[in-house]
Amino acid sequence: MQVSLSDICKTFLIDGAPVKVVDDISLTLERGVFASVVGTSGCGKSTLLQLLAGYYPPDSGQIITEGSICLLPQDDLLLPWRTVIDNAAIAAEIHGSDVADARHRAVELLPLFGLEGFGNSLPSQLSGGMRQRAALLRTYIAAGDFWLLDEPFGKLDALTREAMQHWLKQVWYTLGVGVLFVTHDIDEAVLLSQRIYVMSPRPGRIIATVEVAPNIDDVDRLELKKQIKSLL
Amino acid sequence: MRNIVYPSIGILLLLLVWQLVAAAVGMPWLLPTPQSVVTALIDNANLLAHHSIYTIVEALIGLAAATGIACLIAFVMALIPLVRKICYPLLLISQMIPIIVMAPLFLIWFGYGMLPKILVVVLICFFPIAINMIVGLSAADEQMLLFYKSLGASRGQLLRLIRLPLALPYFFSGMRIAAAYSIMGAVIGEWLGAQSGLGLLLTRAQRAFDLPLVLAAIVVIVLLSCMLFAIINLLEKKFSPVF
Repeated sequence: MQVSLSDICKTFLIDGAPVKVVDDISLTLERGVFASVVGTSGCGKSTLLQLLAGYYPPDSGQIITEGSICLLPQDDLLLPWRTVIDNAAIAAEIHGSDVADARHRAVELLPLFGLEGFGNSLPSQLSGGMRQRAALLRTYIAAGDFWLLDEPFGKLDALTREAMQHWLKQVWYTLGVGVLFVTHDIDEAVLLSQRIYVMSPRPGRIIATVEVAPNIDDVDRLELKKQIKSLL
Repeated sequence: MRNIVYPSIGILLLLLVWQLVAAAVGMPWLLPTPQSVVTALIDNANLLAHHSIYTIVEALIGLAAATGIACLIAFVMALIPLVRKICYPLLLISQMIPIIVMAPLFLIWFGYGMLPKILVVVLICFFPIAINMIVGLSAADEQMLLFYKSLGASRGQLLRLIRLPLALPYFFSGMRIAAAYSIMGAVIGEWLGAQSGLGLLLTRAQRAFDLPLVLAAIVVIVLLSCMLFAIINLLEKKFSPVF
């Protein structure tokens, strides 16, 4: 199962002037593979994810999606008047599918998402990390095949962030989904990913694809980080 | 408890100052004491109740009609940008016409019955509800709508799942203002000509220089407005989403 993009371009009108944000990007996501996109702020990373999520169509190029795909936006966008479970099951409500079943699945997944005992809590009662996990649970109930994660840990403090990175890796491994993870943090990308796409400043192009070996040692990892940094 | 204590202090202070000033002036036919107002309230309880019923009925019918009209206007204006552009100035103009000038016209057009009073209430009350609802229905940010759209939500679902719950607190703050004004609106309508109602009682008492009764009627108007305000607050607690 895979999602493939070929020759995707997207131009936005910003203050009346056309600005090319995404330029000729081709890449393939596979289920079970953790891939990252690194690039500086404003390079079009988020736009790339939003194109994949279907916010808007690309100007040119083609996106072929097998299986289900869902975005985790930068701000979690949980509905503040809904409990964690009600938020998690909202996709089923929208699709008119079995809501009771979706809620049941959400309840069963609470422990894996570190939300045991918080199923009936409102988002305002959760910590930042918990909100992100609740939002990711919503993503999983909506789409079990591919996750598009838009700097999900950007607003967390350093300690929570580190815990969340390890947790995410474990959840990804357990559920076997395909991930496209957008970040400007090279360390984070190297820690989590099997494959890293390096994106240039606007207009966003993929200037390098780096594979991270599963049994990489610390010396090689440092070397890899340096290499990516020099590209940016 | 604190919710009751501090406002009570304010009201007691007002009564105290009033009592002191009235005693110092020493002309009860010009400035009655709070005591004489309370006496007037008790002595005229039946009369006040009789007229209050008319005022309340006019205010409630007017408020209900205003709510319906305001919601309809708000939905159409929030969902269809073109209608919004066309109608927004009209909406504003409706509030720039002094009500006190419109009320006699309603009287000429619709007679001395309840209808002109209800119209005054509607004209006063629909505006705060409509304006708040329009803001509330537009409160959802673009990113949120785009995201839920990408989950497959239709326009109707976006309205039901996101925009309406977001708009409810705005709706209720509009309702609160409207409820507080509704009794006043009915009284203004009655003031200019009516068969019954607190406004009529006020004009009669005034012409008879029965100032305690005038002030007693004003107290009833304030109490009725507070009651409606409180009812709206209760409804909000019950129906508005908590977060």
